[in-house]
Amino acid sequence: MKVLLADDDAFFRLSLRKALCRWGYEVVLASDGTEAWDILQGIDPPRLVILDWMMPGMSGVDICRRIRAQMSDTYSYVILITSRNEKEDVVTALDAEADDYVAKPFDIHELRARLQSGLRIINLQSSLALKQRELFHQATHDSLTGIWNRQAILDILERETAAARAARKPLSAAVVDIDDFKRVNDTFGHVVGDAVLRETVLTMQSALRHFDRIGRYGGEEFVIVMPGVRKGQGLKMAERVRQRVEGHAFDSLPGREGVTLSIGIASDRGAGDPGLLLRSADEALYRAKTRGRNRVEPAAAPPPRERREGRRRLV
Amino acid sequence: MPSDGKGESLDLDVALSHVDGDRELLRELSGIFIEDYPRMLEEMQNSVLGRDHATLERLAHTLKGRLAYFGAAEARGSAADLETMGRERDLAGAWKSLEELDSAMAGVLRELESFCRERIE
Repeated sequence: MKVLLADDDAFFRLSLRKALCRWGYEVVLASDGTEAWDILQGIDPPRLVILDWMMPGMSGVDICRRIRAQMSDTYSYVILITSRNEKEDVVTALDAEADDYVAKPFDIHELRARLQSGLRIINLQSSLALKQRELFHQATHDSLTGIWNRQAILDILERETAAARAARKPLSAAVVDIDDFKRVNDTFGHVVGDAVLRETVLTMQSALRHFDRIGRYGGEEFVIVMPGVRKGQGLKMAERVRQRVEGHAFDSLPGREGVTLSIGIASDRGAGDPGLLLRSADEALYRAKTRGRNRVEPAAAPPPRERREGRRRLV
Repeated sequence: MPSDGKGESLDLDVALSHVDGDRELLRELSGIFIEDYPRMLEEMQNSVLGRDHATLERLAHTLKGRLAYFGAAEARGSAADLETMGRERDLAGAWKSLEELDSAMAGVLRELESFCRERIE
């Protein structure tokens, strides 16, 4: 574990550095407040921080305040060291949100124990942050295929639609359905069905740009959000996805049978209505199904609801 | 002269407790302290002459911290007085405190030098 030791007195830096090394810490030294702050702004800074109170440039209290105001991503455990030991100093230190306060000269074993409490807090904070990331992933991703789940892809569609409207840029959304998927499940069972879903997702992803977003909308239905893509380009991209899957020999299917997709695609320039976009793509998908499957259909322009209401113009 | 424990001017037991009993490290630190002191004293004198309160406060503060480290109570008291004078921008008693400091320091330096000469067993 790295620890930052900031003290303007070389005497105390030497004294503490030796002890910290002996206890197994990796010591990063700073000889004034400005240097300490620079180190904390660097890549992978120490999370255990020992600051002398009185330093030229920036005081330990100043640095502590800055840490709390500007470094919120990860927790830094700050111990302030001082040879001033008036009561108001303790109050000032705690007001600056220091975690602990040690008065010089201190018992070295006391400092060791206080550092160990700091380590416990940092480890606890790290495991909480990790748990939080895991939970966020679980809440937004489909556990079978690893892509965005229904709610997450709908949120993404909503955000991208708003962003596209604000930037006056086009946006396309596709609804994709695996043809005759029920037959796969009925013939080969759910284990194979699940493997086919995973393989289909991987194959579709290989035909998309890295900033296109794909999510599982339902059982064998997917939504693809393609920022910056207008109608003609969207049709080509959807067609590329369809062809890539059609041409793919599925490892998960006995006899390496094929799987085909039906895709409905809608494009939107500045209308900013994610619900309308999705309904239009869904209606197009329905047409692709009724016109024989394994095909891409564009949304009717203007779409039915819009024609009825005569409000928005869907490109 | 005792080789450790409570001396006239400082307390080596206190100092050793700050280095976890590492006598070699304490010798190294004592060497730094002995070497730095004349310069620090001179700079404090100059800061009193030049009415540079901030420098006096800073130097006296550093010296006070080091003296506490060695358990040198009397010299530490004089350094603390000088720090307060610097902070409160009132140098009326500064020369008197500098003299008291230097006279207490004579004993501190003597005992530290003796500790440094001790052979490592």
